[in-house]
Amino acid sequence: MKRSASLIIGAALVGVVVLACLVSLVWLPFDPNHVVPSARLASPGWPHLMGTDGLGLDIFSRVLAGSRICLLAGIIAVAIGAIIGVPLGVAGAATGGVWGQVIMRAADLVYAFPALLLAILLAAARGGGSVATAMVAIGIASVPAFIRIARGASLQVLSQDYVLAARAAGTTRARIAWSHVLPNIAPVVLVQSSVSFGLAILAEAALSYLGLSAPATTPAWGRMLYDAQPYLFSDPNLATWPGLAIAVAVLGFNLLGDGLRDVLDPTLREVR
Amino acid sequence: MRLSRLLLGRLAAFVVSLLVASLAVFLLLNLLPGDVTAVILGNNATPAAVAHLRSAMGLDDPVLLRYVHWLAGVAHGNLGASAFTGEPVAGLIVPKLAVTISLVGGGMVLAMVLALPAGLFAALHRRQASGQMVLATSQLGMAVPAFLAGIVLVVVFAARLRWLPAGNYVPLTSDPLDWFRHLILPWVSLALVQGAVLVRYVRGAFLDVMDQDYMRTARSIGWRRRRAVWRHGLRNAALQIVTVLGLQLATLFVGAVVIENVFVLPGLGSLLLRSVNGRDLPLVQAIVLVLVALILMINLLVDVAYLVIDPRLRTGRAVVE
Amino acid sequence: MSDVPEAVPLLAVDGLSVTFGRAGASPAVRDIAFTLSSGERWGLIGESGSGKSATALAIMGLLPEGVHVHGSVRWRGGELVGLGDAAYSRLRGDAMTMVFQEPMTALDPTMTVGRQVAEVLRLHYVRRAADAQRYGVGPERIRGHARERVLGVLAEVGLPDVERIADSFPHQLSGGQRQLVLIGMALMNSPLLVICDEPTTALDVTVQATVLRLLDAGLSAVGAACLFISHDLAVVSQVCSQVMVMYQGRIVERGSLAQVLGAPAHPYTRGLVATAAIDAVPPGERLPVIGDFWAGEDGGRDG
Repeated sequence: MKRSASLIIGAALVGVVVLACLVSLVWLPFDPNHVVPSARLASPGWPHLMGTDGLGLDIFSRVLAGSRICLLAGIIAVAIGAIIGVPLGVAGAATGGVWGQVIMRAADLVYAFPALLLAILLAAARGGGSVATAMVAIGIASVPAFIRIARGASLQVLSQDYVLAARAAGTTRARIAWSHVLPNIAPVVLVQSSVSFGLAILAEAALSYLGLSAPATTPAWGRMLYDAQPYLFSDPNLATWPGLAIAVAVLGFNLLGDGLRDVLDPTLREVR
Repeated sequence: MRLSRLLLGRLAAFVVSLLVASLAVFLLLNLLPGDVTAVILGNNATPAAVAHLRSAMGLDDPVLLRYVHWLAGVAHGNLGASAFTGEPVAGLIVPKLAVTISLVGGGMVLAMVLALPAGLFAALHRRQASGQMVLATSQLGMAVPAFLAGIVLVVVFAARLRWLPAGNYVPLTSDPLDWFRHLILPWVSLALVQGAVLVRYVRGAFLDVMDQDYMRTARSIGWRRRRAVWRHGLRNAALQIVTVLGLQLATLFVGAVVIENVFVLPGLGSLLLRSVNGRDLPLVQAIVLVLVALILMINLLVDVAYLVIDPRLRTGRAVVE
Repeated sequence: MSDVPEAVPLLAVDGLSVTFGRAGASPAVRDIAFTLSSGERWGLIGESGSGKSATALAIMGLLPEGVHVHGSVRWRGGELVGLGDAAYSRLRGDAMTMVFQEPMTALDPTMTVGRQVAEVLRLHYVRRAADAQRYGVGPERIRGHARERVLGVLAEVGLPDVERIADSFPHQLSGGQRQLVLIGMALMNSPLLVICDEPTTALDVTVQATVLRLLDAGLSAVGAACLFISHDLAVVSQVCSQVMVMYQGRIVERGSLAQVLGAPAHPYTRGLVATAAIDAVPPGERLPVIGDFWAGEDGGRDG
């Protein structure tokens, strides 16, 4: 296997985020929602490693706990995107003709609704944003990229000689899709998953910044940035840590995707 | 002949997409629980008053009929009225659209100014450290959401250095210089992030093109390396880059919602957020429709740009015998 | 065959090695040497991977970055290895030109054929004083006559309906037509050397013969020397009178076509000659393969 610096750095950064999430599930230095008015706007130090915010909440605890919603967004986006997108992409490539066209047109149409717009629409329809509306929006928005990438890769596989031979021998389309296409497009889908994961984190951060995702009691990095905004001139420290956390997580998944692409197949292309 | 048929086809696809999208938006906002009458009358309204308002607003009609009525209104330039103030929505949207277009247009131009030369440079120096540096920098830029970039810029250039205003909008018509000063930070925060993404695509497009046989032909007839890229690479790379530019512009119009929030700009995004929070569904519906129409129009322009750039699409495959 | 060797040959390759990838990797071209005099036509024959194309690209200076070239390639006495892009570019397309294997992708798809052909002229027009005299104008005014020259050159390589071809985009032409356009581009500036890298391999057999005939005529008309790369003896014999055989990065045999065909010395060449002569095989018997003649270094294979 080829060595790839991107892969190593990316995996390390992703590992840090996952570790933060696991740690936050069993232990946090402070209750992330425990308001301590006397400890407002403390500087980084002891016992508040990253200081406290305008309400006296421990920033370190909230940054740790914020990794949960960040990873949740990514997992849901990739799950919805892959589960809906990959079969549609493979089907579009295998059937071709009118149905292939319809699937691609539909994918193009969904491209016109970025995650942010979908989330706003859902929030409007449901009477307010929630984790559910945000996750569904991010998930749906990630579908078209999976459709495109799966279709492109499937078309390539389907034009290979051994697939043509299998078809000539009377193997059904479904069987070919299952035993030839899916295993061969798996690397492409894996790379796209990593890219989509990063995009989902960015989208969730923007949504929670706008108050269209988790409620204020659920720690989320985007929300923390929003809460930090009144203090930007006096205490930029409040924005530094959640900002850094977002950058580390997104960088990690982007590099991981790049690294996987290097290692699995240098000719793969990403779709954003 | 062929060209006009292709253009008509693209235009038809645009209209159909817009219709389907508008239907989806309309159904989503009108079928899910929640009722505009509660917003107008408040939660303590009598059932009789609600029933009266419902029939007056045509809410008792089947939803498809209501869609057709709404669509007919839109076709006549009537996007509906705000559930709160009763003002015509179109009048509310137009001035905000000017703000958003200033923001997005400037941001996109700046992103291109940064990314096109940087991407070309990274492609030409793909094996040198300098080219790899551009790539690594772009990787960092891609990891930062635009609103975070905006916050950092405010901290540095508005809070610390006090060089530029931290927010607010001054119309171009009242003071062009102040308009410009107020938009610099928003533009830069959009451009840094979009530019970082764009750099990678521009580099990829040029690398692709530089590996093509026709580039080798160009060099074999005496073009120098850079000039060959300029003369024969640009148009071919543009085919790929135009797609990304279209996608980015579309993303920016929606992403502007967040940036307008950071810099307190009274644009379409701010209006949209306010109408969502206030449950002003007719206004939400109209703004979303405008945004989707903008995005689909950008896609249409990309398709047309293809036809202009690529003669293979324009002129069929008829072989000269 | 030049019994009187010129003082300085047109092209002198000496100790040329080409290594792809890291330094120290096994070279694609190993320490080859040959000279080519004005007007000579040499075939360079060998199987794929034998280093023929790498040799051609090394002479043209068109190897991609990161490929190591060692040794010497002298053009009329001047060293080309390590020559700067600017100086090389004045040579390429003017005195030294090349025709590639794959005509389908060798032309810019977004530009009309006529404009691409005209570039060959425009890139070198300042030094085309002969043209200036022929058209009775100063060299700076050749620009205005590019169209006539383009149409002229397309007609010279045997293309029909040249006005329409010049205004077409590459995708509107057949593979054979595109290759003729590329041959026209290579001959346009009356070069001293034309390197052809399998120019007919991608074409239909029926078109091959026509293209070879037109290439042969074109080379004769401008009196250019030619290095003709192919894996096919039959094709080489239509254009060249002399041939070099390349095997695993080395030139293993060279001489006049008659000599090499009549008395092949190297086992690879023997196999090549025998497999080319399939009409000598009695009906019903198995066709010979190169392995049948290969009792050389690696012990040969059983028939």
